[in-house]
Amino acid sequence: MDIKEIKLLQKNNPDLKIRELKNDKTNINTIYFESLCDSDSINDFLLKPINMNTIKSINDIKDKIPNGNLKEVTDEKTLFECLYNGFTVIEIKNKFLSFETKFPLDSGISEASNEKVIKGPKDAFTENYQNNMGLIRKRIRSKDLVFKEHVIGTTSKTKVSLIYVDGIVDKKLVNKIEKKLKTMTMDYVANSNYITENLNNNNYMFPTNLMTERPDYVGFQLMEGRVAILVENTPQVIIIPAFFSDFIKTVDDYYQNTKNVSITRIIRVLALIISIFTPAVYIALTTFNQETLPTSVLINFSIQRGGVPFPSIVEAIIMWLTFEILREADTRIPFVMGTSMSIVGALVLGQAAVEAGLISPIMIIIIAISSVASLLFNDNDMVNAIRIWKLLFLLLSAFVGLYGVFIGLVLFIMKLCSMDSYGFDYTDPNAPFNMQAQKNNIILTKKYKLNKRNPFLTDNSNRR
Amino acid sequence: MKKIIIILIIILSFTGCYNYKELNKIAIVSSIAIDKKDDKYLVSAQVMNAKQDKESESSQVVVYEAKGETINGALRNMTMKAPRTIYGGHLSKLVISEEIAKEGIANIIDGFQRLTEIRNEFTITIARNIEASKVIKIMTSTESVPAEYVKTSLETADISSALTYSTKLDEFASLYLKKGIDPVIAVIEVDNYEKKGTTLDNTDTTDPITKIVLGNIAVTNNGKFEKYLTKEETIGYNFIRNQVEEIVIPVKCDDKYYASITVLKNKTKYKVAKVNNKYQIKYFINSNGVIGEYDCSDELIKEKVINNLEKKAEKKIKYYINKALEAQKDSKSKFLGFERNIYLNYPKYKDEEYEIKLNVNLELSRKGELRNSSKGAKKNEY
Repeated sequence: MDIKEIKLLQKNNPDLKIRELKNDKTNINTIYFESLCDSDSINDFLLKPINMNTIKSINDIKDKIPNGNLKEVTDEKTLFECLYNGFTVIEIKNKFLSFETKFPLDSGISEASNEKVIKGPKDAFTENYQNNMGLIRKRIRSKDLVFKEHVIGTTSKTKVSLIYVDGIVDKKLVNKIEKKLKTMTMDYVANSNYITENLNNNNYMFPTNLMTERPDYVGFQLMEGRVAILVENTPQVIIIPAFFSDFIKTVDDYYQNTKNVSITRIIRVLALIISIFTPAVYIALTTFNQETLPTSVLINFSIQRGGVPFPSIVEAIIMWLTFEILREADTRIPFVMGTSMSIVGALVLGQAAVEAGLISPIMIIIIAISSVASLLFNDNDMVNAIRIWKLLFLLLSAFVGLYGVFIGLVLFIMKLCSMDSYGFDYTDPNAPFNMQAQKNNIILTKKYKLNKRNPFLTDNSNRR
Repeated sequence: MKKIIIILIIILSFTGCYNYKELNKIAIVSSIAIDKKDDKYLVSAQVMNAKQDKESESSQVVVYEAKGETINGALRNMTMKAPRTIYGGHLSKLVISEEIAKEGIANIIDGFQRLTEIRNEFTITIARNIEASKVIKIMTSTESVPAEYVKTSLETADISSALTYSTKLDEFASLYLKKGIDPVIAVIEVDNYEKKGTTLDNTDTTDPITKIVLGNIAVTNNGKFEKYLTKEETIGYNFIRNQVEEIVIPVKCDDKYYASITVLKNKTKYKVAKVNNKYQIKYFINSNGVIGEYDCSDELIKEKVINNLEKKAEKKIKYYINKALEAQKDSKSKFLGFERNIYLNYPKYKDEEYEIKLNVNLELSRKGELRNSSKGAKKNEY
């Protein structure tokens, strides 16, 4: 390891700076990445003290320079690790020492953009790993809060830390996840999704983990006995395990009146049912089981269907596809162009299609209510899973009517019951029914009554 | 799981969409009329004419007619005339002409029961003094679909006046098959039939030229039409069969004027006993009512006056029932179902003599407030 070798690297790394200083006939080299370091702190806390003191060896620097985070560098590997992490390396007579002069390369703590709450804390995770850790530690001030750090990514060297509260968490779950994190081989970790995909052997359409950008929710779930995974450069934290019933709950359920929340949760369950079943039931009733509809409703539907050239199922699939295209466009489009798109979507595709006689108005209502109902769930994976099941039900009902809808229902329940989330039943606490866990299921009871933790997640320290 | 889904999709697609019918490809039949012409059935079907443009001046219903040796055959022949498939899942009314009803209603009902698509819930009616096909051609004003008009007016008359009784297909079939009782059916009459009554002109005026009027009930014997009942006999029949929900009974309260008693609740129970080797059915008719109207000068505050009214109303109910009893004596029909009532209690019963005893009890509700009533209260305010 030589300073000359490092100087060679400057060719491919234009932001690698090497500054030579002379202090009492001693040559001092400071090496740092301009793009990762804060030049102010280098000037104030490294270069200034070096100038003001007499420095003869590396030990003088250790003694005289006031800097909190210091690392000794002994080999090439640690040298580069330090450089890439925003450290400044000082070389004296081929001996190296590094100081942290990291520049915060990310937006500051801001409001959560995807999980909005009316009441409750507004801060959200950022891309900064240290900040995110701090946001969690701020909420659980206990020595039992454990951060187990792993470095994943042979090239990217991303820090991933497994967070849990010792004494509450199920140790088996921690060991299982830890084992997987250790054996994970990837060259690059871009997002927390890279980790979850590798943690989970099964590729389910329904999400088996929660992703949140809210530190208060992570704190709540850690105290429930779940495990969180914090990935560097990702503003979303993974919470493991997640059950199907977790997706009808939101963060700010716990910040509102419990009775109102219970009603809201019932509405969410209804919305789930509506979003999956309405198109299928409509198709089944109007093309197979017309005798089940009241006469006046049948006449009404029949009048609206008059003149529509396509079979109902084609009509439904066209509308469903249109809505999905609009939704996808809406997430990708820059904010400024959003209004023009909504005009095209609402007016041209909706109203004009009806007036042209291509689509019946009732079909627009059916697809709209079912699509809007599916948007109640803020997890994107959940919305997409509902979308696929909706289509499956639609096809089944188009072939055999209500009979097909019930076949689909059986398949749906079979699928949900056969799923597992990191070794836990996905339908907990409903399918292996647990009375105690019902206190925070669809009906939410007052917090003082929630004196026991979820019995599936914790076995030793059940009581709060 | 994937395999199951794939297999299911393949299997289901082999069904070829069994029973699939698009809404705008079917003709929804609201009522069917059956006549006889040249020894063949003439079946007319009233089809709801679902059009997108509601403001158009065309009528909401169309009537198709077809002949056939059987009703089923006639319905099949109808497809030659109607552009859409005839769909009977929403049939609400069947009109039978008197001529066919005399030949037998039961065999027609049988034909309808065998049709898979047809709903078992439609009302059976008989067209009095008119061809059945003409009845379903008349345009009605309040309900745009004439079948709905008849259905709703039958239901209201049934509930609020006990002047008729609508028998549905299921009930007709089950009563027909039972021993000792015969079903009755509702009667439809047409007031002043003219060709103009079948056009939209009939709905444009406040006083339609041609009107559909509900009659009382018709009695059947062994699945065949026997005779019509009068208004009084119908009320008596409804009292005996415990089918009265609401009824207004006019009662004479002095020499000249009338009062009307509105019965709001009625419960008819019966008890069968064998007294001196003779069967005896005791009917207990318990009614609750209020005074609906009072034209006499007696003060209503007096208990005696009210008791008097109650007694008179009870007498009137007895009168209605006795009329119905007489009507049954004159015919072979067993529409009041006495034999069945005895049979249910004494299974060994075989067409022997029996005796009917009536016990009518009407109670006028005395609780309540009189507000702004001009009759019956003392004149003590200026």
